[in-house]
Amino acid sequence: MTHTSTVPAPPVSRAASLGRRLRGPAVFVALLAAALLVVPVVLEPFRLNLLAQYLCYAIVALGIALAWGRGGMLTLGHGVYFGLGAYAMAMHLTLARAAQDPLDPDGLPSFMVWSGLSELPWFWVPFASPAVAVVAAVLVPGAVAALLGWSVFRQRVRGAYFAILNQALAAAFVLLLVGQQHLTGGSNGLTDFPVFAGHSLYTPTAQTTLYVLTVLVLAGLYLLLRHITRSRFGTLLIAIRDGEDRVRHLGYDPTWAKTLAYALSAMAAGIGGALFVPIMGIISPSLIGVIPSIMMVLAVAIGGRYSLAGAALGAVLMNAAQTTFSEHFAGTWTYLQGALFVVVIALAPAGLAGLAGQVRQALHHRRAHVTHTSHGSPR
Amino acid sequence: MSLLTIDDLTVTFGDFTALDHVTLSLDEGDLLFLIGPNGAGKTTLIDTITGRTRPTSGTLTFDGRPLHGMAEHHIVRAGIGRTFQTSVVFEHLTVADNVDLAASHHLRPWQLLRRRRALPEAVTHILERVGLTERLHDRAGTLSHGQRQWLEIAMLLAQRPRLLLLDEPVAGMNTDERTRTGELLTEIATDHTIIVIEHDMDFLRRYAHQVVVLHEGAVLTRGDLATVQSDPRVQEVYLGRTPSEATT
Repeated sequence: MTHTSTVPAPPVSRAASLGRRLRGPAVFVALLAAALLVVPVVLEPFRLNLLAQYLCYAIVALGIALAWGRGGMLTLGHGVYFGLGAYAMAMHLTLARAAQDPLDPDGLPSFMVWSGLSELPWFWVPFASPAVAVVAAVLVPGAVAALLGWSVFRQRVRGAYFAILNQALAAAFVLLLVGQQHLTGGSNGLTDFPVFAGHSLYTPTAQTTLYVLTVLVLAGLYLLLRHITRSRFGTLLIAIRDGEDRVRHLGYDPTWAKTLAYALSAMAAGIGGALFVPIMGIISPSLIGVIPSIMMVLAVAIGGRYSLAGAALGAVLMNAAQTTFSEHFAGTWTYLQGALFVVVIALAPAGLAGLAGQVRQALHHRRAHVTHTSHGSPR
Repeated sequence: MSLLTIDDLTVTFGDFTALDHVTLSLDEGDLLFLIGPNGAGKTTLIDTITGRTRPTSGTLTFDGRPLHGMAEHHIVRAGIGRTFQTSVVFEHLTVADNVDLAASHHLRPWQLLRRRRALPEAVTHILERVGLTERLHDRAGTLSHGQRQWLEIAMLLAQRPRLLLLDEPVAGMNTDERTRTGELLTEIATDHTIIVIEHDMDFLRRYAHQVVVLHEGAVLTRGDLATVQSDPRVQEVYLGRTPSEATT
């Protein structure tokens, strides 16, 4: 690589460039340490549980930032993948409860008994195993997204059509869940999860453990997606977003790249959903339908879809704001949220994360201007 | 043996015939200039070779392989690259990333997912060749019009094609930029086969040896520039004036 040395480096001192390189990792480690060591001690259990819920949405947001921010796929149906992950986990937790319950005959969940079922439906059977549930929570959303993605991307369906298709998927999924009450618990969903793999979920220790697990998964997924966005594949995704047809003439088939990004994004949502269930204690169609799907994308838009950290932050902030505002003035929050969305789209299309960049760029411009003029002065 | 053979190619869009029984062949090492008035079918011809437009009838053969029905990206991988009339580069990517992406299309998916180290030597070399080394880290969106055209040529070279199709590479360039592009083109032509669409008469006079004139979708004539220019039919259709007026 002799030629690389001939490339002029940007005019910054070595120490400054090292400092800049280390700033990101330093912030990451500090945040992680605070989230793991300080937050669980400081927050009361109720608040810690709420924060853990927000972090589940942050996991979903990371995936949306990959598919939408990088790949340009406006996925208005991520509630489906969140839901698939959530239901996979909830099915296991429901069976785990039923197995313990002396009132449930043959370990059959009570809603099935009321619906007149006498035997566990075949697709429920494997979910008795916690390992199957965890694996399914990741793979089922991934497989569904890969199948859907491949078939539509191959037909060059994109933009608004893809968004509407996703939206329709979310609506259909909810209809299916509600309609098949004897199999899915219907609009009530699945709830009351006292135990996972022999451990009670209702103790403060269990809730703290779930919070810590969520933080670790979020951090790990962030690092993984950060690596992906910085690889050539990440560059390819941006290129596809900005000019899919041009990419074809560079010798790439956008279909597989988009399918992979979309499936990864769905898997992230599935993981978020699977963690959400034992933390929240319920999953129902109203948590994963059209409106929640839009909310997930909205949070990413506000946080900044081009930045993984921004998207995650957006999800935490929006959900925290929702809780805070609905605690105090229930009605106004919806309007405020709508207004916030309009403001962000109009003034900062790259969201909060982009706002930081805009300010930095403005400062940089000024600094560059100053150095330029000082160079121009006589010596 | 010819590298590209176009045989009796016809492309119609509804009632409009864009290409009308075009037959053309190109040998390895040729530098061919494609000229003709607006709507003559020049860009359609390039679009059809690169799989962007499907032929209505006729055949295209590249290096003994039929191109019919091949997807765009497979045609690129077979060795045919192109630029676009309105130089299309990825504005949000850096200059280096644009070229690097073009150079990496042969990588397998898992290789694309690997961590990237320093720029490949081939990429830095190509950037030097087109004179964009100093803009390496800048976003492509910040380039001037001429530099964007060069970046597109750099991306094209990075694909390592055997046949290059350039759609109006000097459109909108100033005199210096035209000269630089012409020199670049001459240099590239020493080891590539090239088809160039170009309108600019001055540019043609300086760099064109072999010229094909398209008119209303059909090949009117082929020959060196002087022969083509003195052809009264060409003067009439291409220059849009009667032979007596066309003294240049």
